[in-house]
Parts: sequence; C-alpha cells; structure tokens
Amino acid sequence: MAGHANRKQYMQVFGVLTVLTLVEVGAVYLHLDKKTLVTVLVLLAVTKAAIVGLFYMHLKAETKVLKASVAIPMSLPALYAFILIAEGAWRRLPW
Amino acid sequence: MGKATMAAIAKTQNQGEPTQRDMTTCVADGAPNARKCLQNQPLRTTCWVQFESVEPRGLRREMSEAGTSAAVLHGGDHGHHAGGGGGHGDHHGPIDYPKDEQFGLATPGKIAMWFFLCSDGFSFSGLLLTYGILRGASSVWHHPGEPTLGINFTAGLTFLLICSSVTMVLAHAAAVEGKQKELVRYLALTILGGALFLTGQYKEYFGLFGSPGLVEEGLVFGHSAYANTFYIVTSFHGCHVFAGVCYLSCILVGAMRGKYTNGNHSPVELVGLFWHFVDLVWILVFTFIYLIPE
Repeated sequence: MAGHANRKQYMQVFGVLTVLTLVEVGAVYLHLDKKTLVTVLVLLAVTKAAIVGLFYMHLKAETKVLKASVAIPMSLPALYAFILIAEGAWRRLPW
Repeated sequence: MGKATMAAIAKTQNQGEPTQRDMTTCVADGAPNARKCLQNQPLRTTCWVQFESVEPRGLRREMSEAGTSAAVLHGGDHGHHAGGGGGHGDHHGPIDYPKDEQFGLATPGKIAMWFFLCSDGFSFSGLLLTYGILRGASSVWHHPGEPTLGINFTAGLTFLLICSSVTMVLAHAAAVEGKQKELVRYLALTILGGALFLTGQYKEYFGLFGSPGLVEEGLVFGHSAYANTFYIVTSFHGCHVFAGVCYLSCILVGAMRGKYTNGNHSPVELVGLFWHFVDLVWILVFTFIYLIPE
C-alpha cells in the first residue's frame, strides 16, 4: 500500500505535471498550425490525467479488475468524442 | 469472474453441504456476516466463495496483538468497535479487509468511490462532448464583442490545483504513517488551495479587486453557445471544488480529533480520490475549454 517511500515519487510526479502544464501553455504561444497544436494539447492533457490517476489516485497499485472497471468505462466517452470529431471532419471535407 | 472463483464455486457445488471444518473457519474468521451465513442454510455459493478466499494475514496479527482466540474483523470505515469481542476494547491497529480475489485489498468504500467517480466522469464527459459538438459544428464560435479566455491566469489556477493535489497526497501519506500534525497541516493546505481556486474562479467570472470579470466583458450566459458551454462546464467543475472543500473540511475536523491517525486512514484516502478526480477533470477542462484556440 501507499507507504513511506512514496513521497519522492509524489514530488517527481508534481514536477512532471508542472512541466507538462508549462509545455501546454508554451505550445499555445508558439502558434503552431492548428491540427498539430490540438493533437499535442489533447495528448498532453490525457497524459497528465493518466499520471494523476495512476500515481496520485494509486490506480497503479490496484488490481487488474479495478483498473479495468475504471479504464474501460472512462475510455468510452473518449472513443465517442473521437468518432464524433472524425465524423464532423469528414462532413467538412470538400466533396 | 476470475478463474479461481469459478474453480471455488465448482468445488463448493461438488461438496454440497459445507463441512463442519468450513463452518468453524467461517465463524473463527469473524467475518461480519458470518452469523447471517449460518442462518441462511443452505449456504449460497457466492457467499461461500468469499469465505474461502479469506486470507487471515491481518487477522493473525490482530490475534497475536490482542492475545485472544477470537479474532475480530472490523467492518466499516469508521473504526467502530461494536463487534470487538474479548480484549478488543482499545484496539487501534490497522483495519484489514480480507483480500478479495478481484479487488485485492481495496476497501468497499474505495471501490464505491471509484464507481461514483466513474459516474461523475460520465457527467463531465457529457458536458464536454456537448461543448465539442457545438463548437465543432459552429461556423462562428466567438461572436464579436465576446472576450477571449485568459490563459495565463487559468494556468495559474491549474498549477494551484496541482499543488493542492500534492498536499492531498502528502496528507494521505501522513495519515498512513500516523503523523497527526502533518496530516492536519497538509489537509488545511489542500483546503486553502481549493478555496483559492474558487476565489480565482469568482474573479474570472465577476471580477475582483477592480479587474473586470468575463460577465462584465460581455460573456453572458444565455447569449451564445460559447458562453453557455463555458459557464456550464466551468461552474459544474466549480461545484465539485466547492463540494471537495466541504468534504475536506469534514475530514479535517476528524483529523484534528485524531480519528485517522490510529490506523484507520481510509477516509483520508477516499477524500483524496475525490480531490484528485476534481484536479484530473480540471486538467482536461483547462485544455479543451481554454487552450484549444479558434
């Protein structure tokens, strides 16, 4: 279970989250082209969310069943969002 | 259902009636519903499988500590000693649940909290999906006269929530190690972070200390899809922060009374789960609502 040795890891995770936040904000100011920027931002956000879930919510230390019963339902809205966005993009293609 | 459980069920069905030895184990383990299990003859297999998978690791330690033959498993998250039989009046050790085949040592409260967070996650998903669909379908998102959202200030709020997540996780570590003062300090810092976040959100909406808020600048609820989705998503998250601050305050009171540093640190872990979830959602909201440019 969560024990004594984890404090160092908590601080490391904190550092990673801070750096990723700075990278996100920096990326917006870089004026990349929109597709690249959105891809980068979404990937960074999902990474950060996963880091919080795995390390701060200790999901990493849970059993496979608990991991799956959180990860599977939570990935469905993401999948749905992806489908809807893809559909929207397809509709806007110049046919 | 895991393979091992299936095997256990098959085994039980072959056995038919539980043997005397099993019944004794069942009672000796002191499982909370052992009595019920005896009354409901014939035993239901699902009930029985649980007892077969009991791992008496924590129980043995309690037995040796208390020096009694009747080990008692404390149920519930609040460390009540109602079921504490001989010699257990002043027991302050860790509360161990039997190791479940599927969920390991996760307490029932923790599993319930995870499922609640999933359902809460669906609410946020619904709102964010609505936002995404409306935004993707609109030809004009920003109407003239509507302000853009400030990234720098909100990045500060994001950092604030991340900080409060760190103090939360450190509070949990302190609770596990039984350090009451540290626990109280970190919980107070976490609450402070949440309160500052709410103040920041108030400033963003309505303005504070002379700086105008978004409402004044022309982002009015009901006027455009942009304004509507922005206020609904961020205020729904704000409600969660507020609920989290209240929840944390309750836990802080308990922590000051020393309720969670005697081995019963589970409530601190639960409030932590909720708080980290709120942080996690904000990370996503920050990206989708604030960072993605027109």
